[in-house]
Amino acid sequence: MSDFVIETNNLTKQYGEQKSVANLSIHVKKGRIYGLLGRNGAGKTTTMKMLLGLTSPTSGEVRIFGKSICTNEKKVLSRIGNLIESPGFYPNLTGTENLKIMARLRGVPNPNAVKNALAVVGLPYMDKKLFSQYSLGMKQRLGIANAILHDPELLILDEPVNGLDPIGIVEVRDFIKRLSAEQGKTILISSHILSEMALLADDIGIIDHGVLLEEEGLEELEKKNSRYVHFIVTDTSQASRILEADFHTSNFHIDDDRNLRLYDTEIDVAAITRKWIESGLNVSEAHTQNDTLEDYFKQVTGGEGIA
Amino acid sequence: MLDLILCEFAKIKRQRFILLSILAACLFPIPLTVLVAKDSLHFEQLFKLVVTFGNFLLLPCVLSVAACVLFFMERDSDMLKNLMTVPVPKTKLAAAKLAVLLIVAVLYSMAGLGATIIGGLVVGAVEGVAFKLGLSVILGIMLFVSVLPVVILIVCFNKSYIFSIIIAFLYSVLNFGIALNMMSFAPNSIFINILPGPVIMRWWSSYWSGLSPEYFAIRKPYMLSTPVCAGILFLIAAISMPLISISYKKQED
Repeated sequence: MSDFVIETNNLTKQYGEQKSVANLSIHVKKGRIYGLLGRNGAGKTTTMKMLLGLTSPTSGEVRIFGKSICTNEKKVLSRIGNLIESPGFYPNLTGTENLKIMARLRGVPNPNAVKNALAVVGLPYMDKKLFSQYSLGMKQRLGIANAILHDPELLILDEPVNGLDPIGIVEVRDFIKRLSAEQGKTILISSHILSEMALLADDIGIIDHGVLLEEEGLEELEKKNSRYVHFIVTDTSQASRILEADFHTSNFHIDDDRNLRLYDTEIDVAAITRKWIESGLNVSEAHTQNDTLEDYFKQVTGGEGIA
Repeated sequence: MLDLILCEFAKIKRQRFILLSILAACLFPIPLTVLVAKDSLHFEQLFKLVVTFGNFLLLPCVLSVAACVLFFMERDSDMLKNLMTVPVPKTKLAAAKLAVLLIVAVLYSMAGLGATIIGGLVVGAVEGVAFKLGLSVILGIMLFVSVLPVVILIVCFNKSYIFSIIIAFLYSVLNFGIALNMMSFAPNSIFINILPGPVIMRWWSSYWSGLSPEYFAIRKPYMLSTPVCAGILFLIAAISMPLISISYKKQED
């Protein structure tokens, strides 16, 4: 029996010549929040659609709760709550009416399920406002309420904080964290917002152009982030020659003619500064820094940043 | 399946078109009642007029538009992805939508009869209510079958409402025109043996009362027995329903 709630094996989706997702193998552990991080168009939504059987993969395999989604669709899907792309509901019905339809179709036994789900996301029960009159934030909240309506073990949420105001974002983030921490739910969440993922996810998968570039726990990822000493000197060429000749290191990076980053943090900064000053260089700044996740993402994806 | 049908009814809440069409079925007999009263005709004539124009002309149009509303609902609201992940099989969803259409057809037919009875009380004595109620229910079911071919086109093309409604109206008017002028065709003509509108009209005409022996003799070759009519309609339904289901299943999410 696999330890993973979601496991994909070389999952590929091809539209014509274009590979939207290529040989993707992700592993989502039970009770964890897995953040699928990537820019818009990186293949996050397509991946999630394949996990839910909404689109069939060109090749590869999806296993959820240890079962293949293709042959166990009914058993598997009934244990999943999802929010894919923008939330879609019947515009001529209220939020409550929409959720009542979903509750009936899902066979939810709890008569208060709709009321509870709406309360969790802060929407009124039996309100007269039609879905077509909802704001984007309200629609998103209703989408989340629909995802949790049947108390699923696994939640697959595609950019759930899209369209929410800052307070709404914090509320949804806290709610997702609580679901994982208090109820042990497994959550796969996608986002293009790095800072959001850093605050929410336990594990992160970085996807770019349909390819999974990195899959790691957030802690490990943060440990990987480089620590360095940032110097501002009058001549980085001369400074680099001194580093190589006198301190026997080439583990540094010259940003421009004044900025230099030394990754070899074992060397005594005072000794370096002294040597540079003796050689006629002016050192105006020297301080230790860590690369941010943003820097790391740039590094992994080959230089392009993320929001 | 019952849950799916109940949900389909819940979805059409505030869809004014369906309520308006039932209301139209109730209002339609009013001008006909005035005409019948003016010419001092019987309730039988009023019923015949209401069925001919209300059921054979209006009902297929109403059902086609209702089919557009029902089959385009998920596409327009982006709701299909929610239903697919329940999961609700598309074949069952299509079957539930057809069941709603059938119920609407029967309700429309019965509403029309109800209004006709009120009109009948105005023009004189109302007779054979139980028979007419049964006939209305059967006509509702038969006319539901008659729109299935156009539902195939609506689902298959999956285009705009305007496009689908134009197709539906053309189909309905063609059926009605041929049904009304069936005697312009030979009794074995393909038009009046395959098109469901004329087939139903031929069956219904065998229940007309008050025909003179000469006129009955002229009409007789055009009358269809219940087994023949039911057989043709069953064949249409047996071909149409799987095609609707397949077309709906093939639609892209």
